[in-house]
Amino acid sequence: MNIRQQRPFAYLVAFVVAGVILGNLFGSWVYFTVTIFSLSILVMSVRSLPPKEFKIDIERGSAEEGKDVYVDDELEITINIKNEGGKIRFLEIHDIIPGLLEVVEGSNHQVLELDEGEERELNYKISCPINGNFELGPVSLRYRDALNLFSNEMEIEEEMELRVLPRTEDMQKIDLDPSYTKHWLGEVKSKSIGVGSEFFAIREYQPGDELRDINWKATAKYFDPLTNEYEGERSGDVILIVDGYEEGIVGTMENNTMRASIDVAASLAEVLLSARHRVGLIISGEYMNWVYPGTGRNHYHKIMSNLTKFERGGTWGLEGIKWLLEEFFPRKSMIILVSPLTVPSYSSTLIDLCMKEYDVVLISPDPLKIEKEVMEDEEYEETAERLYSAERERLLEKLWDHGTTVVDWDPTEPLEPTLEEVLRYRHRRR
Amino acid sequence: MERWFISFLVLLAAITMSLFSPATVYRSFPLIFGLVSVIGYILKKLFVFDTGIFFTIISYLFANSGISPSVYNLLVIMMFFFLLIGIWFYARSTLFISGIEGISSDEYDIGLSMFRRSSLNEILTTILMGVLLSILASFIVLYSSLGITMSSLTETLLMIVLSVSVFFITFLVIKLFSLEKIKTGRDS
Repeated sequence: MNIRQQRPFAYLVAFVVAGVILGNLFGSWVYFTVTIFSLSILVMSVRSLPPKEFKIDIERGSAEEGKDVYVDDELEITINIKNEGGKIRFLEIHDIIPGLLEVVEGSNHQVLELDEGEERELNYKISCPINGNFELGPVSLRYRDALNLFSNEMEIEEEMELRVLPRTEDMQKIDLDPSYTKHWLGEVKSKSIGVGSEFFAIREYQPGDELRDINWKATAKYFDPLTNEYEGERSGDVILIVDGYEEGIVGTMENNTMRASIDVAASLAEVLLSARHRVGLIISGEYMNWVYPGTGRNHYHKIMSNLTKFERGGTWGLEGIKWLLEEFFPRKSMIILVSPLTVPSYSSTLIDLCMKEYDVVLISPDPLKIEKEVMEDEEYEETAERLYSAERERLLEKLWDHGTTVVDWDPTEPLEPTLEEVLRYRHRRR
Repeated sequence: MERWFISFLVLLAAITMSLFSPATVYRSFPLIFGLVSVIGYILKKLFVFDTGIFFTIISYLFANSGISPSVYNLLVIMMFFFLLIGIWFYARSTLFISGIEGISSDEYDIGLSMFRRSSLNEILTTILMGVLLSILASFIVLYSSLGITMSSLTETLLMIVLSVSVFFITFLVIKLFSLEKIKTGRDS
């Protein structure tokens, strides 16, 4: 730690020097007076010099530490400050937080006076408008004298990691089931006998049948042990694909098609996992990240963790994802691609996937709606808007014709109503 | 409120310095640079404010460079210098406080209020001690180096008492205004 001189000190020294130079230059006693006066202040200011060392103990904590924090949640941060040295006056404390976090209550920047051994608490609340991994800290301390002639600074490496998860939309009413099911237990009714809850038929009792499956009423009627058969309930594999291709992203840092895509993927992962499907995830961004299909609460956290730490960028387009799907992921899975579809080559890749018996659903956040929201009152070129809308409509119709279920979604509105309507149409088509 | 009061003080000091200067072309310079510092303070441009104060003082000395070396003139220059320097330090302190962002909470209010009072006391104590030291040093320099004969003892003592009284009155006025409840966040 070094004691530093601040700008007012420099000005006082400038007065001293200017007084001497100008006094000699103009031969006037008046200038020498400012030299004397400035030197007097400098001499007297030595009495409030900052201490060379100050011993401060800092501890940061939060009531929500260890818990999941979601976008726009408020998090209370508490900093305990203990002075283990002599009395400190005018101690400036600044808890450095990333620029994307907002302080909604209190302040992370304060000035305190601490007696020897005194302990104080600094509280403030933060909120994050976007998901991601963040690091709070370090804590910067600065001693300033009242005249701000000198200062002494130190940084205390007290960091705290914060993981902000994307906010999920409640979509429990959505009936989004894969066309092809696998042999493990789920909630999709298969057209074959198996483990389930819907009654299918009665048959003769066979050794090994569960006692609870015996139909006692029928058995009493026909004097022959009879067993219930149920309609099999299966689950399938669903692969969520989030398009984070840099050139295809539209919008600002806080409000863009990628953020909308991540929120949708998080909501769908929750819905699909609760329906006991096996859910996998592929994200193309700075790196290609994937999570192999799985089930359960831990798997959900794994997916959310990957969505949270996702960074846009890279050069992996849909072709790269297609290769990954074909090589490493189960066949006949349902593919849910969340993409604004701003890259022209995506349509041919999607059609190709449909041809290879993948059940493809495209949820496309309309980039035009986000752009209009971002631009607010600025003038919008109507002709360009109509041209783009027509082009987009043509593309989506082409994909429908080739077997892709397309959800053209306005990201400024909830997804559930639009998705529900499209799925109803999809079921009717089948 | 406080911001406008300090701006008014700076402007008043600059006007008074101009009025107390001899009637030459350079008489208005302290006022011009005083205006610059007021603009810098209102816009919270610290560099502009600091530079304005610096040149206000230098220009005042320049405008008064031809005056005769007497005790009265020395005390007037000292009074204006220390008055402006005291206001400068206090104004910087208020700018620093207004630069600390935050939303109201009781603890925050108390912390800032304590800081404000402590810094004002510290500034005034340092300035006062600086004045005393300056008076002593100036008299020694004047008498020994420049060979000026001092005026009568009564007149000298009266000058000292008058200049120190002006300073104390200013101190009391600032202290009275600083006792109002501190508003948190930025200055209103």
